[in-house]
Amino acid sequence: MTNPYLPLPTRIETIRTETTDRSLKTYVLRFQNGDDAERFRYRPGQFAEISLAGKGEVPIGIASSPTEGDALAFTINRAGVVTTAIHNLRAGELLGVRGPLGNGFPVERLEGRNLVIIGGGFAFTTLRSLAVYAMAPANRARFGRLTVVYGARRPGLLLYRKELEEWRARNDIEVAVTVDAAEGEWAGRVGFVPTVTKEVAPASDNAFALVCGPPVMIKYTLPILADLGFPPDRILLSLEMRMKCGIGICGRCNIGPKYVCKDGPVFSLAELKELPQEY
Amino acid sequence: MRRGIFPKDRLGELIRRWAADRQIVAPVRQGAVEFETVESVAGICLDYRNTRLPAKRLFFPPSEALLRFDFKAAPERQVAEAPSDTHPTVLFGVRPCEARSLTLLDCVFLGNDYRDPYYARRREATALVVLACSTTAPTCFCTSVGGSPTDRAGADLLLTDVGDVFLVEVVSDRGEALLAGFSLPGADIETIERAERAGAQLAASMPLVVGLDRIGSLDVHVFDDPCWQTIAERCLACAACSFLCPTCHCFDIQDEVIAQQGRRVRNYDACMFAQFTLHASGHNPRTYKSQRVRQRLLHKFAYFPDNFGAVACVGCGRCIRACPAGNDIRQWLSALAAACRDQSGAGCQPA
Amino acid sequence: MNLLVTQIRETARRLLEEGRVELVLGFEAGPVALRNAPCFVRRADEAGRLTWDRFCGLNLAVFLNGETRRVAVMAKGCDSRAILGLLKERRIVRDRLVIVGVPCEGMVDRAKVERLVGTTEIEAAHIEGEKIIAVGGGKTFEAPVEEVLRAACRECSAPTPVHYDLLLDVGQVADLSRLSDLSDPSDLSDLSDLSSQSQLGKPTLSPPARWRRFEAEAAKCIRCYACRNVCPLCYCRECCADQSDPRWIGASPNPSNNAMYLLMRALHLAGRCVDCGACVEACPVGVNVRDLFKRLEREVRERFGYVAGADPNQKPPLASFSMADPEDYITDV
Repeated sequence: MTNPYLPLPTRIETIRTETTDRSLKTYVLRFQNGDDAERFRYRPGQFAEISLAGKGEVPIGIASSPTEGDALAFTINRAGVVTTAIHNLRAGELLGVRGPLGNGFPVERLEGRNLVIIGGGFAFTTLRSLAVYAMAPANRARFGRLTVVYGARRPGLLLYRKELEEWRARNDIEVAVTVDAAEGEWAGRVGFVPTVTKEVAPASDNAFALVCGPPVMIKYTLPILADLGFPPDRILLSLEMRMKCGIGICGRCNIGPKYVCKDGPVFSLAELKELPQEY
Repeated sequence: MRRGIFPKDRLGELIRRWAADRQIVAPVRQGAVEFETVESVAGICLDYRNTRLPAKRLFFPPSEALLRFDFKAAPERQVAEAPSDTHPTVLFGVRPCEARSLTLLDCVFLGNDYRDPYYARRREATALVVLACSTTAPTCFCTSVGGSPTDRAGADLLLTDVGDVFLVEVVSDRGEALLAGFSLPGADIETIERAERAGAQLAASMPLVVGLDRIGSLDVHVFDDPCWQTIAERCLACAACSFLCPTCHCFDIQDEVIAQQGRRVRNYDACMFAQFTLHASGHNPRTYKSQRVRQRLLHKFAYFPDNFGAVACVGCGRCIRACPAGNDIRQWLSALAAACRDQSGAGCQPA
Repeated sequence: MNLLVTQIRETARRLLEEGRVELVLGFEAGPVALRNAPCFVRRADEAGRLTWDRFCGLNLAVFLNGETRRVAVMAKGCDSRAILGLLKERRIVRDRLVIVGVPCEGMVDRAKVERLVGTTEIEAAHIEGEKIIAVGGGKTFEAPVEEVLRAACRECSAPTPVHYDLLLDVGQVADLSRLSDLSDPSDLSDLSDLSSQSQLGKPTLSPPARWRRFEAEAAKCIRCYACRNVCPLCYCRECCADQSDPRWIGASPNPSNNAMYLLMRALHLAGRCVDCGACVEACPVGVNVRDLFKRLEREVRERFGYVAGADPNQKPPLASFSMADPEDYITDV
């Protein structure tokens, strides 16, 4: 009987500091055992519990796409005890991974559709996974137009800056990157994500909007999407909740009868409207 | 499902037979009655209504190591599953409500996409010999939540006290195996009928929670009802109810380290605590006590039924006895059932 | 007792009708025997719900923490002492509070009744004169109420409140001081060699034996925090027992961590605990926490001449200093 509480050992291959304040780092992890890598079949939008023995675990969205090979990438924000300890690790050290957990984005339902990806701050990580997945040569033809609106408070806090530049250079994806406030040499857009979404005005026909970000960003983005004609069942959100077991047993992360770790973290706005407003 | 007669004065033999290769856990009176490991029938107390602490502690303990860490070992071998301490066990003399509570916990720990191996091992290793109730306490309300004083749900053997003998019902194959080597003469119709009548009378004598007999679960729309403020007024947001409840299953996971050794443990936790849903960012979906009281009640009586088709309460009444502030879940349910009816008009889902 | 109940109801009715308060806090019959429930009365015509007897052990001051509404509280002696403590710590607004002093004769300890009857399943209990009559396990049991009073009540110095806005008067008031001179036959506590039991000639325990007794109590604790949450003086928004960074007190319920929790609480309540006994009553598994608190109460009394809840003008010892404060812990000057 496999033990769902037992983390699988991975080794840190590379660590890349994403933000100028060093609060966010991307860890590329490689499974120690080939079997584990084989079995870890994930889809964009899923997460894993990253385990540091002696400190604890944290639920982190998977930032890599399954199309990028066996290694996993996690962008981790330094927030508490465990994440601070993780930030002190070096390449070559071990971390445990439990997963893949959660429902992820409903990739089958998204096929043949236009995707409007809207992210704020460091919630962009699983959206990166989805964008890379959709742009992979083997997958691109299965999806329609790709639009990305991504913003951070200031330029120094943007994730994946080099990649965003590469995406902008492509002709099969429209990318709008913005910051709440400019600094340094920033010559790009300045404006909140909801405002920029309104400016970009992505068409809602045959489109899904996938939104991840802080509650305040979501709150102001949803009416914009409604105005653009996105119905609630084609707006998908990825929620965050305090989690422990990650497998729907410890009782902590529920919204009504749904557990964010197991029935989520991806929910459509239509589904959320049916649930108690307690998150 | 055969039934037979077992003389009480032979109980010692039966216990002795089981004790040869199994651990026996039974109610023992030390002031309050609690489950303890016993060596023989001598220490067992069957003259009781219910144990103070619930049987769930034997399957889902208050504190349990999940993993063990050895930081002196090579990095790849530092983390491993904690060694198991499970033995074949007979849980003897447990009440029907407790056995039923385990079938409900099974939904969470076993019936999921993920099986909890720690709980599963203890469940698989333990046979349940249930003792039907011959009296009830004023705080008992099992009949309001789908149970009864003679319920056989979860039992391997169901014993009913009928004077000098037990009427024994073999409920499962494991129960049958427990009786290996002991004869179980069939019970005569009169004894069976007498026992069934007494059981039915006892069940009928228990007052039903007002309103709950007409609803199988709470309508989730009662979430927005203003009654929660008043309901939660007296609550002190401790976990006396949750920790004594046979069906509460929330837990916390923590890493503990001393020098070069450590472990990852799970400990009881409760949705009643203020910091239960506190995010690292400081955001807390359930800041107010009334929200947490609502969560506890709706989880048991709306969300759990939604997911598993049964209410997560067996009516044992421990929460009522334990609450330092005089809260009574039956009163809450009646108030909510009334609010339910008001809101939906057509009435709530039938039992 | 009936006179008291009448006065309580009348006072509540009057205060609500006059609009002096929005809420009256008292007791009503609870769902289980031997334990009444707090009662929140908002309308004058609901005043009839209020009652009073020997099962009103909860300290109602616990509901006053941070309260901003105009509230009247039916306060017995220990309740009013706790209120005084909260006032000194600026947790209540004085002019929004009406303290109705209720003369107390001591509250019944549910665990003592259970021990005497031999079961934890007491179905019903009532007081007749000076007797308690309890029904449980198919038997009826009688005892003098004195025998089943809380240990804290037996040693209570001020059962009738000395801090109040209104004092209910039922003529003769109980004098519990005579009980503190008598040995309590059913009191199992002898953890501290400094408790009053030792002054009565009961054998004292050696320190190792005392530690073992303490650990045995700590081993019972299930960390439900009923004791903390029922205490009027435990109002920290984030209790150090709940902090995870740093983790001051291990979360796992084992004797060592539990002992730390109990010791921490005792120290944090030093000079603040009013010895109402609500914590002992609240504990679902019968941990005797009181002796620790008594020990510290005595320390504070002897070292600083301070008793919690006694003198409204006396500054709390941890918020003040005097040149005469003992310095015997400084061994090298």
